[in-house]
Amino acid sequence: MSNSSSSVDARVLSVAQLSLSFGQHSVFQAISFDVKRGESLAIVGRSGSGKSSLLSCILGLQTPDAGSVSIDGTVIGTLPRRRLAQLRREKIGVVFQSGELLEELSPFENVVLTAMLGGHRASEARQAAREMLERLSIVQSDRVVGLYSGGERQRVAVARALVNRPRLILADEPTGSLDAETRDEMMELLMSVPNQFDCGIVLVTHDPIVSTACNRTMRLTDGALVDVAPRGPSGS
Amino acid sequence: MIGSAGLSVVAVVGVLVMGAVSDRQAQSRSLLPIAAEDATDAEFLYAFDLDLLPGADGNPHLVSVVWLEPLTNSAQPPPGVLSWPRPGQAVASPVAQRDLNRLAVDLYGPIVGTISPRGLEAPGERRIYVRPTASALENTGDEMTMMNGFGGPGVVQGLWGVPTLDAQASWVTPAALIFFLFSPAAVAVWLGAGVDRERRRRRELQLVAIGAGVRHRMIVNLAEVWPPIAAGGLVGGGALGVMATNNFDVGWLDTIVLADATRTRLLAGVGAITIAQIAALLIALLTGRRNTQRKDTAEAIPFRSAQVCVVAAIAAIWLPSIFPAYGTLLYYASAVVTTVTLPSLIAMIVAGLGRVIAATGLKRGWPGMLLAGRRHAVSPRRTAWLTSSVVVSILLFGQVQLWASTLGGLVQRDLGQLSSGDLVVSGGHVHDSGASDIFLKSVGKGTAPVFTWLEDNRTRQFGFDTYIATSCTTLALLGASCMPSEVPVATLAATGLGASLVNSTGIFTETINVEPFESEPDYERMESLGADFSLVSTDGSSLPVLEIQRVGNQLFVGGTNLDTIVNRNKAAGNVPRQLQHWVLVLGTLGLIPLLLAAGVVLVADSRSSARETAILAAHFDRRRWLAGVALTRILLPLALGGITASLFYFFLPISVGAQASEGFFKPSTSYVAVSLSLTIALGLVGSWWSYRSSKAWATT
Repeated sequence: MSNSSSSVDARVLSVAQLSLSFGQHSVFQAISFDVKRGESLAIVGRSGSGKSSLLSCILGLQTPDAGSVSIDGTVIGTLPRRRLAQLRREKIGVVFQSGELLEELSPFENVVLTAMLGGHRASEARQAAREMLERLSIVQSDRVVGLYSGGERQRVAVARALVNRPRLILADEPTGSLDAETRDEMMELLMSVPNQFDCGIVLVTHDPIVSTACNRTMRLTDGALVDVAPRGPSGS
Repeated sequence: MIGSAGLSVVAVVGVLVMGAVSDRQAQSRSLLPIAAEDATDAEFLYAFDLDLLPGADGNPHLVSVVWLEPLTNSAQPPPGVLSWPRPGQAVASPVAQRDLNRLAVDLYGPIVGTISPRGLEAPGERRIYVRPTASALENTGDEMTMMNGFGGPGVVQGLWGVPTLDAQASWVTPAALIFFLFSPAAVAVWLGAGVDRERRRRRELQLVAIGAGVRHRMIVNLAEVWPPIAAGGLVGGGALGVMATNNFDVGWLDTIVLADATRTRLLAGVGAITIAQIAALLIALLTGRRNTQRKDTAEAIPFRSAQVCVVAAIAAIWLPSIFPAYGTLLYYASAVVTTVTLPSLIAMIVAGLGRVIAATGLKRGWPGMLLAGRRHAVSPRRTAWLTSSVVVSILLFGQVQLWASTLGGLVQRDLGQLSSGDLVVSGGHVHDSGASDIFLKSVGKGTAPVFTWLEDNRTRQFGFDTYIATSCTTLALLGASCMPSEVPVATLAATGLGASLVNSTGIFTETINVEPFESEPDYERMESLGADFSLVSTDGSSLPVLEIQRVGNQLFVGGTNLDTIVNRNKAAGNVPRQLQHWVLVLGTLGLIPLLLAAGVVLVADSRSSARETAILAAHFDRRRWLAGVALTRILLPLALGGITASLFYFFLPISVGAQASEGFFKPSTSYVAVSLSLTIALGLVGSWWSYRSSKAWATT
């Protein structure tokens, strides 16, 4: 996979004519969008509009009825399972609403575990984890993550998503359980990620304040995905 | 539900066993004879004897033999007997009759009737009523006692002829039920109540947040735990129903349980099940309440419990040697405390190991070890919960094995020595001289009498000399010369026949004085000396013990108390053997709900940990590390728990075993091997299940 600086090759995510339905119920039809490196995209919509299903299709966990998904130039629909898993390991990081961290581990151990699973050797994994925690200004301690506040846990979740230097970050309601002040801190962190780590970020949210922080917002409604806010300059 | 079923079955068993004990006491009293004041008051003559009867299992069993001779036409036969047998005939209980029917000889004469349950201490009792022959009455009838009825006021000393358990002191039976049945079932309920404790904790917080009071929360919890506990109660009710409609003859326990007896206790059984249900509910509610207290993710290591465990273990090893009079009690008390607190000690050890394992996993890049090691380090109480069933099972069942150690080394040695056959049949005192002469002539060729007695001699070590009188032919077989002499016992014991004679008669002096017969034995002199007599085989073949006993029963009231050391040792071994069978059955009944609950615990633990690891496993599509998590999470604590519990089982009874009779409180290496094997197997199965659950979660 090449990473040239042309506008086409800068796309980390390309969704084309994607359609999904569950039985008679159509979730979305023929939606298309792309995300470049250094860009942040917010996808908003009512509960049940299909936002999480869209993320599942992008991750390759759900097979769409039609259309294609490309991650950093690689179409995922035809990939065998192992190759798809490798692509997820190398190219995609995920931040969940509740972090979904391992409660018994410290922040460092949560991040290093992910690095190990990503294929790093032990010493490389430890080094990568330390660097990531430092870059995100997360204080390293032996306290288990289960004792951390919501905001602190989400910071660790972001670190975990970034440790393997993915091309694309998917965040599903990352601020859903945070108070306003912590939400703003989290958004400041997330918005710094695309430029700092040369990746794209797709953020699913129902919070209008969160969506306005992103370069671009699209609304998923009645099965269609439409721009709400225009594309801005990358990184701005 | 499993624990509740266990408690309910315990309740039913408890009611029936205690009822059987009570019935036996009452029946025994009703069978005691009433002494007559004088001859005019007497209704019948009475003599009681204990014999050994070969059973279906090849072992001799104690049988109560009562010799009765009516003195008047109006004398009532004993309870449970319709009419008096004729002289030389007998009436037997069902089990005794079954054993007698297998013999080639009519040991007590023809059996002409069956004693009904009304006339037995317990349904499975071996009891025989014998009417003596005219010869026996003439020879030794004066040894019988005049009685005029049954149901006397005497104290029941020993309950013979039935399985040992309910012949124990009255506190032993309920203690055994509590120890072997109730406690494992209670632990099973506790284990089950600990499942889903996180969900229940969250629900409790939500209820408190919306203003629910203690009563409301109790009702909600009750509504959740009552159905499975009630289902367990139905199991107990089913067991009671089965017992009330069927008779059970359990040969291995040498016990008969009659449906009639169960039906008389139906109400008590239902009441006991109800109490068991309440107990289960209390345990579940209190455990659930405790588990819903807010806890930090990182749990405190149970140092205090672990310390108590170590102290209790030291006490179990050391105190019996300091206070030997209370050795057994001190041992059991310490062992119980050790058993209950051992999971905490193991949790502490595993927490320490967990830190090491996590550090190793971090250093070497093994994600499974990192995760599982840290889990052990921060969740010691969960580890204790996981290992409780295994630890309690091994130590509890280990006490079963220790308590029921059977056929001590001494008995085994004696049996080994006399494996060549019944060469010596030893009897009691010499009976009426004339009868003895007839008896000896009746027992056939290849048999010779040997008489032994003691005479005072203060100069000797034990204060007396041992004498032996027999024919010159027999003396030659015993390795002694045919002249009055003092012979070392070791010389006699050098021959097989001599060794059998020495063991059989219990000679313990270092020398023995030999008196050869000139021609025939001087029975009158032997009787006046109070000599005991034995019969020895002179041609090397086994003596026909049963035939000899039959002849003796024809000639003497109470027979001749003839017996062999093999028989006596086998009978002595029967007592602990029966006890062992009982405690094995009770222990197994108690163990089953505990092991089932252990399985439930493992499955629940697997389910909760699977969800946490699934997301990572799914995203990275790496599942092999889940196997490492499963093995470290499940197999490590179980294996460590099994090994530690086995070591404790082996070393705790060191000093109490040194003071006990040979063969008791002796740990078994076989038990250790089986326990460890089962524990490892459980750990492997649990690990596989955990891995499978995690993989399934990852797939979905």
